[in-house]
Formats: sequence, C-alpha cells, structure tokens
Amino acid sequence: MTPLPMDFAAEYNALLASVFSSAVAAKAWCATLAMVLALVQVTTAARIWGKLEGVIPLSGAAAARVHRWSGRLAVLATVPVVFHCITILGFQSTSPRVLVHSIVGSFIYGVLAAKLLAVKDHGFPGWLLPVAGGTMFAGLAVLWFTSSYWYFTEVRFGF
Amino acid sequence: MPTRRSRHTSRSETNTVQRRWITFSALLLGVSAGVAGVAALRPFAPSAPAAVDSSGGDVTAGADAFVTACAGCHGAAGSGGGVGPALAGTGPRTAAAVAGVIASGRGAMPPGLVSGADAANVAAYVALISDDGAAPTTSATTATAPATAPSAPTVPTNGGTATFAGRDLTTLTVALTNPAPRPWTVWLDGPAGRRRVAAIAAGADSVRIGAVAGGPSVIGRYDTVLIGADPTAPALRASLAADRARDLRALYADDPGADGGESVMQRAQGQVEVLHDHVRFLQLAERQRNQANVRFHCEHLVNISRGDPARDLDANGDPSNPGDGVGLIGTPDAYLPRIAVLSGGALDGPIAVVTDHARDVAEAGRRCATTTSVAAAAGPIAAITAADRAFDRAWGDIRTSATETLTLEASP
Repeated sequence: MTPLPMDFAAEYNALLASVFSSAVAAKAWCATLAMVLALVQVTTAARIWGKLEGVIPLSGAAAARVHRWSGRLAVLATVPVVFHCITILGFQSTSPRVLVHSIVGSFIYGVLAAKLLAVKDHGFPGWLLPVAGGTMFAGLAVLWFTSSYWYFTEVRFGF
Repeated sequence: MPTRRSRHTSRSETNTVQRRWITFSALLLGVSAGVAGVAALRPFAPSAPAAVDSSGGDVTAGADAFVTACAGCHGAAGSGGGVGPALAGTGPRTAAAVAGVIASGRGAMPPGLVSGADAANVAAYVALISDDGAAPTTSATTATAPATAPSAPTVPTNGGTATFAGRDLTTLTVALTNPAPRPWTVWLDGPAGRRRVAAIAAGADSVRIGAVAGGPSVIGRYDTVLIGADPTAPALRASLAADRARDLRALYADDPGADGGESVMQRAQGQVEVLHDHVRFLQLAERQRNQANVRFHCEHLVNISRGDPARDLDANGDPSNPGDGVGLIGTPDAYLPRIAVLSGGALDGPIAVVTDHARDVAEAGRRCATTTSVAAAAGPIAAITAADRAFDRAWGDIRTSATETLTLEASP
C-alpha cells in the first residue's frame, strides 16, 4: 500500500511525545492503564457472577456499572496504542517477544468484538461470557508483559 | 413422537443457534483478520524524507536522548530486542550516516523522531556504540564530535556497587559512582565461566538485570562482576570472598552436605510445603470429626517443625515424621538456624519472625496431639491455622528479601 503523502507517523509520534517523553513511553503507560482497568474488569465480573462477595464491597448493580465503565475506559486506553501498533509499526517478527506481541495483538480486538456480542445476545450458553472475558484478560496480560513490562524493566521506567 | 409443529420449532431453534455461533465466529475472525490486515499494510508507515541535520553531536547528551527516544525499539544501549534492529557493535557507521537515517526514517522508524541538537547528539552516540565503543566516527563535512564530548581519560576514577537481590539472588543491579565514560559491558565470571549480562550506555551510571539466565541462582555459578570494554582488562571489578561464596552457594545453589544437588533453601522450602500440607490434612480431619486423625496430624506438625527424634505424641504406638527429620527449628542444624548462619545475618529479621510462627505451630500441635475430642482440639487447630498463615507470609519474605552487595573497585 502506498503510504500517505503526509508524514502522519512523525506527526503522531510528536503528538504522543508532547505528553510523554516518547511515543513508546506513552504507549507503555496507556497499556498499563488498560491492564489496571482489566484487573478491575475481572474482579467486578467475578462480583457480578456472585463471587468475591466478601472481598468487593459493592452491590451487584454497582459492580455492573463499574464493570461497564472500566471496560469502556480500558478500550479507550488501548486505542492510541493499537493505532500506533497496527498503522505505523505493523506486524513484526524481529524477536520472539515481538512476534508473540504481534500475534496476540492481532486477535485482541476480535475477541473483544465477539465478547461484546455475547454480552448483548442472551442466547449464548452461560459459560461463554466468562471464557471470553478470561481470554480477553489473558490476551491483554500477554500484550502488557511483552511490551510495557519489557520497556519498564529493560529500557526505562519513567514517563 | 414429535408433531410436525414441534419438529418445525426445533429446526427453527437449531437454525437460530447455528446463526448465532456463525455470527460470533465471523466477528472474532473477521475483526482479527481486519486488524492483522491493516497491520500488514501499515498504512501510516513513515516514508517522507526530511532535511538532514548533520551538525556535531555530544555523545553523553546523545546517550540520554537515546534512552528516551530510541531505546524503546532498539533496546537499552542499542542492544536490540525491540521492534528496531540492534545497533551496538554492528559495525562502524559515520555520525552523518546515522543523522541521515534519523532525519529520513527507515522501516517502522518515522523521520525526525529526534531533531535539532538531539538528532546530532544521538547520531554521535549511535556512531560510537555501533563501533563497539570506539571513538565516534565523524565526517569533516557533515558531523563532528564537539570538543566537550567526554572520553575515557576525562573520568579517571570510578567505582560503585553490584547488588544481587531477588528470589535466590537472581537479579543484579550495578550502580556506578560516576557515569560510564564510554559504552561498557557487564560480565559475570565464576565456576560456570564468563557471561555477558548487560551493557551500560556511555553517560549512564546504573543498570539492572532482571534475571540472569541459565539457572535458578546466579550466585551458584558466578562470584565476580567485571565491568568495562574488555573482560580481560576490566575497568571495574568486584568479587565475593571465597568463604562467603561457599556459604551462599550452599544456601542458594548446591548444599555439599545434601544428596541430589539441592540447596539449603530448596530443602527448607520442601519442608515448609510438607508443613502446609499437614495443616490442610489437619483441617480436613477436623471437618470429618475424625479425632484419631486430628491427633495424628498434630503429631506430624510437631515432628516436621522440630525434626528427629520423632515423638509419639498421639500415643498410637508409632512415632512418625513425614518430614525429612532435619526440622525447621529447635537445633543449630535445623533449617532456619542454618539459613541464618549461611546468609551472614542478612535474613535475621524475617528468620526471627518465621521461627516464632514455627514455634507457635509446634506448640499448638503438641497441645492438639493429646486432646481427647475434636471439640477440644478446635482451639489449638485455630492457633495452628493462624500461625501457618503468618508463617507463609514471613517465609515469602525470606525467599525474596535477600541481598548481597559487592563493592566495585578499579581493576588493577
């Protein structure tokens, strides 16, 4: 595909680096925020399904509200990361870490879309939602460990 | 026999379920394929060239700018591992050539990722590390290193610390008293040979290695840290004293007094797990209202904690100990006192806490083993459960809080 005449990549990097020290640092922190929100997702989902009642001091309805909003914010936090990853960096295989990140990253929005369908359509079997949610969380965890964690431990821990 | 209407309804429901799953699968695979397709096309991949800034650069400032702007893709000190290729030691490049790549971009790297003075500084730095620490290559007509660029003779002395830490001392943190005057490498040296473990960028004064690959404890394989450009003539060196290395090897890698090449810590960990298992067996016996088993498992808790000789506390005629007989507490050869000695006092705090909890388990176990009913054992069992939980937390501290700091000194 012929790249756009405008140097969008440089502009986008500069936009991210206007807040953080670099585009990669911005992505690392956005992914970390998404990961934290994903943890909120898992715990509130457990509460909605009647687990952790003694641990999470929320009613089922309140847990459902927190679940919905943490999910929206988590997806929002991934948008600048995903946009940079797929439109500028693209699918890469320069190391096992990068390859795993690319493969799992390709599926994560697909899993998200399928999970949202399962949320809206009550005709699916009951086990599907926790399995889809668990898969989503596991995928995000893999993506975080192969990117943000690597960056923070191997390159630089800072904004 | 189903009627025509019920057969029709059943077929309709089957179709609905099939459609639902087809939609689900199509969404999952379609969106994933779409994302992968866009990623393969990279519609916003950088392409536009920009003006080349080929003014002179400062390698120290370039090292800082590199960490911020470049290391995310090219790895720390250009060592690779990210989306971008490794740069360190990949062959000489002129600063001008590097500046040209920075300005025009290459592959996934957009043009002008760093600009102005930063670009020239990074170019000088990359030129330096690409030639594996040689003086920066420059071109008289394009890029030149300024007179202020640091070089080895300007920092005549350096020192610092090398600290092993983490579970079983598997991590290493190097902290220098002065920034490295040029790209340096960190090697570990010892019975297992020599291993390059990290690079320190010129101008950087610390590096942390998350886990040294190749085995459970780095201390078991290496006892010397070498830092510099050449391991045979390192700038800095730190070594464990022979007796200290021997103690730490026994503690974390291989206890010469044990069969099978296990460390003291590994063997102690095994006994801690046996103890936890028997606390669970005891709780099960209590739920099953099995008085004989309650007394039996309480006897085991005492004997696991205190070691041989096994005591017949439940008076069933069979003094038994499911542990290895060494014991966690009670004698100088028991695991916790031995860990205290081998760690040289570094773990005294958490060991004191764990010893108290082990003593609580053994004491409550002794009371519980002689009770005459399950109800009478409830109090000691609750005490055992609480002490076991506290024991577990404090034992985790022992496994993770060890540190061993060596002083780095100029190598003779």
